Amino acid sequence: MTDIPLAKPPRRANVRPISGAYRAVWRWHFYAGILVLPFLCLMALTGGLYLFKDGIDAAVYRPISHVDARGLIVSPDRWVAAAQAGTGGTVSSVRLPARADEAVRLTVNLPDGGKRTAFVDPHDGQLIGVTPFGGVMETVKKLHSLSLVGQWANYLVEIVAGWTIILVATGVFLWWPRKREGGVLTIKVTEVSRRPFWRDLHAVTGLYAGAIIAFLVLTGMPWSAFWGAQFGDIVRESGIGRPQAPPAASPWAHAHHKDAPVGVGWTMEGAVMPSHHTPVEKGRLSTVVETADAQGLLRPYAVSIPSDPALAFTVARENRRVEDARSLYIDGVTGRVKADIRYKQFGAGAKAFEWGVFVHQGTQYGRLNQFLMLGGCIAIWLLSISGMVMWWKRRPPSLAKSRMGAPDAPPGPRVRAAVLCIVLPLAILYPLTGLSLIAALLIERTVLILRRKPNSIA
Amino acid sequence: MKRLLIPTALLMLAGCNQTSAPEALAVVSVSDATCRPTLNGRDVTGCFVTLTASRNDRLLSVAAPLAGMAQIHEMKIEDDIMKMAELRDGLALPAGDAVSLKPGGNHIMLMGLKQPLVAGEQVSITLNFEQAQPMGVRALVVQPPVAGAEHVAH
Repeated sequence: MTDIPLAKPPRRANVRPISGAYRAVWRWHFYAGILVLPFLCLMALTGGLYLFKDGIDAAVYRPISHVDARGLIVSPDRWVAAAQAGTGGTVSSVRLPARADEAVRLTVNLPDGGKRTAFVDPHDGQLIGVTPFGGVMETVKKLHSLSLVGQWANYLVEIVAGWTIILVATGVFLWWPRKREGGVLTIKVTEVSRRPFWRDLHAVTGLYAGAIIAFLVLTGMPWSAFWGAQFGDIVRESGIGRPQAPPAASPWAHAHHKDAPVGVGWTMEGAVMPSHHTPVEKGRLSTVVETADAQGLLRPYAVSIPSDPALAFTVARENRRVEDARSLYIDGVTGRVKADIRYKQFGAGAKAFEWGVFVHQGTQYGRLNQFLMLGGCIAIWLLSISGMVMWWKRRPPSLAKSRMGAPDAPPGPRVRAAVLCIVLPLAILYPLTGLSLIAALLIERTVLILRRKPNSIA
Repeated sequence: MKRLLIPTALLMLAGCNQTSAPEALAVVSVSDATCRPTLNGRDVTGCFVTLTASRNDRLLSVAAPLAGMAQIHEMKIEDDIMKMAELRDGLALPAGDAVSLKPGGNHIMLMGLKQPLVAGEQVSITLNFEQAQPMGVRALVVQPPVAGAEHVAH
């Protein structure tokens, strides 16, 4: 690394001992970095906060989530009635906490299409407070998935994910020791004002955190709009995902969006069961809670109340480890258990992907897991800052001629093959990344043609 | 700056999120508000309604522009005789409990009606609560279904 010239290499090729492939990869690394840096910083920040979801949520909502623990619990039907009376909406799901001094949280759908979370004291049925749906951590989550600006922005996540893998791959290539004694393993230059310090900081952080970052990107994909949905369908349809319906149960139906149960896990999303009951009598939450408790389902769990009375209630345990996953499908009128789905019934695909989900969220292996993922988030910031500082320090003397300070395009088209070996597999795995790649190449071509510099095509 | 700005924005959001004032949360939902048509020559009738409070509340009083006086009545059995009496302290509405004022039980009594009530009309009634804001209700004048009524019609 130490023989990278600080100044821009001269235009003519093979004057400097810097290889064409190296320059091409560097160029890709530079452009990929520019493209994803703002998104990555946002996602690392919100993701880092989300790792501490429970603590932040408890601190922010303590005034309305803390209740006095008492022996008496009023009927769950009264929680629902109080939340509905207070908000004017319809309750679609209820989260029962593990502790007696915590409020019950109810998701309320308002007639105008809005969603709220209502906090109700389970001991006397009093409505304590109402927040926007999911509260402050839902906002953090929506920032993390970019869906706060609109559902379309969720597609950006996928493009960013693909480019991040390109960044990690090209970063490793750039770090790889060539004709030298070894790669940079520690920061040797300690002068903060000099570029080598930032380069070493960048290289060392990337070396140690690259694997975590790549892991976060890969395990984050099931949530993404395009790839996640496609992959989810494949897993579900190939039978390696959700368990087969038990013989006694009726066939699984695909849920309308409104009736999609909460908390059943990624591979079970969208699966609902008909309760097979003539919908004369409406199912009751109290009946369902009674059954769930009798079945030994551990709290906290979430009960999804179907708006269609022909469907069964879904009760899903809020687990921190994938092995603890369990959801019950209960007839709200008779209280009969229609299905009891546990981790061991999951297919290999569901097991693997939901494991990824829990590790991504930092809960699968406790504190160590949480702080390792936090380390990945901090590393992204370190890499972004050091990358920007490096660019600033090596920027062209004058930015006036609309030069970006990007590494020079390597001579000759032959090196393109080397770069495409890194980039093309990613483009195929993540089609949206591939599309953005084509767009980026087209834009670069256009700019080059406009500038009439035919000798600098990468 | 981004690092500083976002948590600040989140805290501000969190601040706005909380509806901390309990008064704003004390809401009573009203359903099935009905009144009986007046019998010939009478200026008195009963009205019925189902009330569900979001927080423990109390129906303190009722008023109707069409009636000289409106009261909340309870039905109680004393010495084997069913008696009607005004609930002077109002009617308790436990949070989340659907409290029904229904024929044969507690009800709203309208007295000194300025005009007879005919089935299909609507009557404005104002409900005053201890916690929740007063609420205006339009009760539909209907003949409550009485057991065996269809046989009477034959």
